[in-house]
Amino acid sequence: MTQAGFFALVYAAGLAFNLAWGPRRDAVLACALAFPCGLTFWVLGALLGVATGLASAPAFGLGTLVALVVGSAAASLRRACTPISWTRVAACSAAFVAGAVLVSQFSLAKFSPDSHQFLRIAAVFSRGGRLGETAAFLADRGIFTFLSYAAGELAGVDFMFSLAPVVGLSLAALLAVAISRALEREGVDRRTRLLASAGVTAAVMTTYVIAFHMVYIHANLGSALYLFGFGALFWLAERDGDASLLSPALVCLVAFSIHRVEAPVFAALFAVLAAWPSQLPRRLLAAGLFAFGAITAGWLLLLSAAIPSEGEFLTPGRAVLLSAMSLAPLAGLPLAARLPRALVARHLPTAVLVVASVGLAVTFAIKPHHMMTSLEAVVVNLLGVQIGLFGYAWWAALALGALCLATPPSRIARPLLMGVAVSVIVVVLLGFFRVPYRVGPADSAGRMFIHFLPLLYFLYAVKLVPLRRWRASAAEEAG
Amino acid sequence: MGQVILWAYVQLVGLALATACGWARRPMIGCALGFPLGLVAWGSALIALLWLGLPLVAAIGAAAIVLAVAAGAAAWRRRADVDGRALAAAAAALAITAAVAALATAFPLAIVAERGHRILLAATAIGRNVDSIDFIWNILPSPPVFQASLHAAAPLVAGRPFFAALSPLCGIAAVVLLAGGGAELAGRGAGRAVRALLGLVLAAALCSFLFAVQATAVDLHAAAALFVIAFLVAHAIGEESAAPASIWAELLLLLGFALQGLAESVAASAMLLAIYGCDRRDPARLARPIFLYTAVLTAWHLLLWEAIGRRSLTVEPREALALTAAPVLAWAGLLAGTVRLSRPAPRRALALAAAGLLVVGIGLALGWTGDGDPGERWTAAARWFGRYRPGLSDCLLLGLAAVCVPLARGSASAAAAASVCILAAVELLIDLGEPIDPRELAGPLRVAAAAPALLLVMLTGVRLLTARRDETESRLDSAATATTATTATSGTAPARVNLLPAPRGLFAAVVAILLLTNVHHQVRAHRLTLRDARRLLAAGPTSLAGDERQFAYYLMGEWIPGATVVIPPRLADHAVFFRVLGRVAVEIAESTPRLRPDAVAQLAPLRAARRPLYYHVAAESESVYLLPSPRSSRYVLAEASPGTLYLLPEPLYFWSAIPAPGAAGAAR
Repeated sequence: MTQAGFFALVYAAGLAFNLAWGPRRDAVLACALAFPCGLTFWVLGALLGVATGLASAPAFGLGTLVALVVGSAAASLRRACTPISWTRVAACSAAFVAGAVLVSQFSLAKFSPDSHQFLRIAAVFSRGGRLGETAAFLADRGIFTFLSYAAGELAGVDFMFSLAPVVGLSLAALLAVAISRALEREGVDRRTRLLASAGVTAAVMTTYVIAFHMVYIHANLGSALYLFGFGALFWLAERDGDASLLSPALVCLVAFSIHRVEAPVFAALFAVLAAWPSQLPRRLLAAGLFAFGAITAGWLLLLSAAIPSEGEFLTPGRAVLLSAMSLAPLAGLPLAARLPRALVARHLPTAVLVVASVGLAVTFAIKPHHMMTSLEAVVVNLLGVQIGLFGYAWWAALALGALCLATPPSRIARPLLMGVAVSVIVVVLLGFFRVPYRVGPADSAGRMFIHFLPLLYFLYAVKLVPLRRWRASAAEEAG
Repeated sequence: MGQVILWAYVQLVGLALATACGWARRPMIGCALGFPLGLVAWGSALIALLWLGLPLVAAIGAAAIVLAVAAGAAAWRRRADVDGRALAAAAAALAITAAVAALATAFPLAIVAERGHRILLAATAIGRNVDSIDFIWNILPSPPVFQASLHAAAPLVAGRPFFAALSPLCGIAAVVLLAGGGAELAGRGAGRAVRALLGLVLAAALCSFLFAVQATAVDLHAAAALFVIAFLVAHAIGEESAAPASIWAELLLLLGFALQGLAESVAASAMLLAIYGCDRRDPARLARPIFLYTAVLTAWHLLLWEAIGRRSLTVEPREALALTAAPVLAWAGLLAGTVRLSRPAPRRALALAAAGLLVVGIGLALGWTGDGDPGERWTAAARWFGRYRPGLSDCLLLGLAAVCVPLARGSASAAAAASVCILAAVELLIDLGEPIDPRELAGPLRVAAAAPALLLVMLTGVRLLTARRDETESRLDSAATATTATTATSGTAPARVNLLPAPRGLFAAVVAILLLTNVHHQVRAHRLTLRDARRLLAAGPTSLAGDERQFAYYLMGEWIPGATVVIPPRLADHAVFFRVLGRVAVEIAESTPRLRPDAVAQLAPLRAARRPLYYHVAAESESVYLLPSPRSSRYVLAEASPGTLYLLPEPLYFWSAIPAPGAAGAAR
């Protein structure tokens, strides 16, 4: 099997999943989600192999993909009454395969010591490595990237040098399609939709640090893809009450949560902000959050038993704490259900923001110099144009954020926008538990901000593009 | 011949743009505005394409096609305005442009002074596809990028080092605009006296040192003067005729003026923008054009700011940032100033404010004590005036303009007076803190200031000679009175003027700026990697068979059969790689081994045999190095620096620290 063949298999499995349990009516969106979802299932299968030790990670991953295709086909038959636009499926699939084949012809990979470590561990897993002997390396990196690169042996190459470009292209496709679909639901005309989706996608993907991560072997672009997938799909699902989008959204949330060591914090944060005030069926939300909590918490508990007791990043105690946080969205759902929905929607984001801000203030009070050093590095990395990481992306984000404050609040976008704002605080806060952040492209905080950029611009687009004027006329307000 | 064709093409594009902006109904002025409009469109398109990284040939071709299509499409929508008179005027304008270009090419009178040489140097760099902006920043303290980009095409288009016809064309276009615009603004009732005065003014303009000399020099002055006068004429006539589409032409011309320099022209254009925005009778119509103008200038200066930050040359980043903010602040001021106004702000007050600014500028420039004694500065100023030998016509012009400023009446006169004051004040403010150089006879804005000064003198003279009240002002005042009366009668509050574009527009502008700066950064980075022979897209082998891997952990067993790797406790985690990937024996030492004192001497010959371990497919070196020794099969893994590991022969270490084979702890 070649790399392109592997990508096609993953895509096919993801497509089967989406057509069975995802946005079956919207073939283009299903195709855009196919690769991210398929890759998640590959990783979850491989994770099962690593955790149980019954077979190698690739064998379990491959088995999972095959089982997914079969299971999805069976499920699709039960939903056969919903039509599928096979022409669009074929066109989008052909485009994906052509793109995958194209990027598989060139070696574009960029490395750092972190990349080498990713590939080494991936190689160990692809040759039957077990959890125990690699646990020391898993304490400072998420498992997702290791296992996604573990397919190198299967694909007959040193390493999956085209995986990062394919992930990047998937992010671009999903960003464009999601913006277009969201604006369509907001009643924006076709020309504006096309312009907005193309413009925002181009602006986000050409940001230097994101473009670089399209060829750089690391975990951040994948995190960005999955966090964006969750946020955008949840927005779309909430907008029209379309529960079929919940499945891929929660798959994205699971994938995001195992991308990095600290990712469960952000995953739980977004899950709480999105799910608790949601108007989607509680039963479906509970099932999704149960799957998220079970997988994430289960993996973290397993890891807590294997990793060294001392470390800079993940320790057994922290792993247990994170696993508890992963279960928090599910645990709090019944409580949120008892409260008036409007009350939760109005006050929950503010409450979370206040709590995070207080936490940040406490960390500054305890270690003022340490936290100031971290904060300065974060600010320079984000806003320093001469450094060239984000260019003007965060300047523009700040300007658009100010613009959003001057426009009417949006029920659906507000919790997610607040989630990004709180995440920024949490990133700074996490600096308390480690050596201070530093200025430069290798800094962890600077790279973490990649995760939020696509989602932020998506939310800005869906909030601002439909506004043709600042205030609705009296007639519109009356109507 | 190529030069003639190019400038005729520029004139043609300008005529199409003028038609699109509604100027075909006034064919004479429309044709006079054609050249500056075409020039700014051509220059802006060329700069944008060059900045995006296109080679010069491709940029010229793309700019020509894009402009022809865009201008043609825009003009097609106003085709009903074009009649036989307009067509005849356009044909005449084209013929005049071609004739002037042919004459200037055949008999070049070009003066190339110091700045002209630097412009041509930069043009050569652009023509040879050097990373133009970096190069320009290195050689020019204040880069006239617009002029350099225009002249860069000369070797390709005309087979000459520069366009000798450019400055003459700009000068003649400015004179034609002065004459035509003055005649239009003076009114039909002016009669013979007006025509006589126009003749005098034309003669003064042609004889003026500041104007005539610069109309033959390879420099930015003629173009700057042309854009200022074209803007003034378009604004005054557009305001008089209440032609909404002329706003686009005005802002395009103002953009052309702003792009001439780096600092002073931007600041001056921002102030002109604020003054004329407040002066408009219909400020609400300005929203989109001014917003676009602000966005373009802001993007341009953000790019410059980025380049400046890397170079730290003449213009400091904070100054550039202030300049970046200037158009935005002007726009914000305009927004704040007009949002509650239901009629134009008093023009005389604006002119007086501009004159006050001029006084403050002069005072600050001469009395500035930052760098020395104020007395010395006054002396230097006096010396400057003493050595100033521009000729009688210039003295006459300056004196007349100074007299005319307080006499200015009417929209066009007040606008011209305000422009003179603004341009002169900005010129002085830009020089703030530096002594006036007596040799500096023509600063970038001093020539530009001469153009509105001529217009001001001409209009004031016409008013005094004909002793008539300016009809334009009368009409404006009566219109304003009517508006107020209507408002009072209806009893409703004046309509709020909303200059702020819709959220959608602001969002689009922010995204467009972000995209532009991102693309520029990517292109620049790519060109830098090309220069260092490091391509962004490094094509390499697409895949490798398993046995070709040159990967430390894989090949250790192949390179040194029967090898054993001894790993100190701190690096014990690495055991899994050697065991699983290299399938070599691994021992974990009980304590950290130490290098022998003579190890360095023994390492020196081994360094030649160092085996970097890398992924062939990416030409990427691993951070693990092997120094093989023919006598050793046991190697110790040592960390030379964080993340860089060496496998060194065991004899280089103290034996006491290495456990005997089999006696050490089992491999993890």
